[in-house]
Amino acid sequence: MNNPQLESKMRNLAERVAAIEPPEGLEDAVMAAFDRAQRRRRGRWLALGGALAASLVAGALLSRPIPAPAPAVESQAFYPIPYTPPLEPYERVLVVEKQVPVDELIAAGFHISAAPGATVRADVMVSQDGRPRAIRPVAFHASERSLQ
Amino acid sequence: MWRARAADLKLLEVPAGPAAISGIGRVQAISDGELVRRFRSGDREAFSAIYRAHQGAVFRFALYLTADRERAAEITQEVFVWLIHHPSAFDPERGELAAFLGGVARQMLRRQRREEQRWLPLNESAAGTAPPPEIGDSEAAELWKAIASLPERYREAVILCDLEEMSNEQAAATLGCAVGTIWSRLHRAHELLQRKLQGKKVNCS
Repeated sequence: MNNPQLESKMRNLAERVAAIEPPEGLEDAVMAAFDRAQRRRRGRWLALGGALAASLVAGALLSRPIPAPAPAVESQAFYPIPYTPPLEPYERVLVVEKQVPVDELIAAGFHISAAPGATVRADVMVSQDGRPRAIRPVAFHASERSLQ
Repeated sequence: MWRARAADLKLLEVPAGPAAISGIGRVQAISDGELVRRFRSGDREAFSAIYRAHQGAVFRFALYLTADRERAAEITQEVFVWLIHHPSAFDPERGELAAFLGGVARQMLRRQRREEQRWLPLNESAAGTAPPPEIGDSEAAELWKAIASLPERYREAVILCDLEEMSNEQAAATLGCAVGTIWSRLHRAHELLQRKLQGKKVNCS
């Protein structure tokens, strides 16, 4: 600057402005922002680490050899009792287990070869009107061999 | 350089070593580049040292442009909070931290002024020419008004080079222009200021 008078005035102004301090608490506010940012940064790293660990565990679990499923037990079907009306799809039924004389089954229309007086433990499906509609043998108590 | 004050010195305590044993002292000046490197890795002391070294200059720059101590403090806080959230924005290879922070402060002031002007009536200016009351002295207040009435491009050059004693190179880095531009702006600004202080009518274009 070629003007000493202006230069002197500039120096005077600069000194006066340099004496003006920022409000108290400014540094505390800035350092608090720094601390918050660091906590967030650490939290992000922890979350990232947690996610990585979780994905590793999930990967290890998924890559394990999967045991072969147990062979499904073929459920034995109910045999409809001959000469009874078929069940409607909406019809509610009740299944009761009881000891059924083979003679009654033969009388109902089943072709069973069994010794006289034999019984069969069976699940009996009873319709809403109280009539038996189907039967599923559970255990034979004589020499019965077939139920058709 | 920016006007340095005792509180602006970059001093960090270092573990006792040969310097401490020989009685030279337990503090050591650390470069901005090293402080920024430590700050990026989460060193609180390093960031605190950066803040203490540069907050004064950022605050004064904002004060010259706003004439308001509270607003200047807000801008200063925004600048350093921005730095916290953009630790990699400053590249020590490309310039000095002081110029970089001055540039950030300038961008924030401009953004704030744009937002204010959206809500001001057309006949009101966002920036007044009245000095802050802390200036007091009538001669300093008169110069403040003269500088405040300069076009912004001249005002910034005067603040950085004449009042904050930056080199033309540092001012150019802060304002994002060529060094020759700073020189010509200063030249024109000095002419205008002399005329204003002599009470002559000036054409500020």
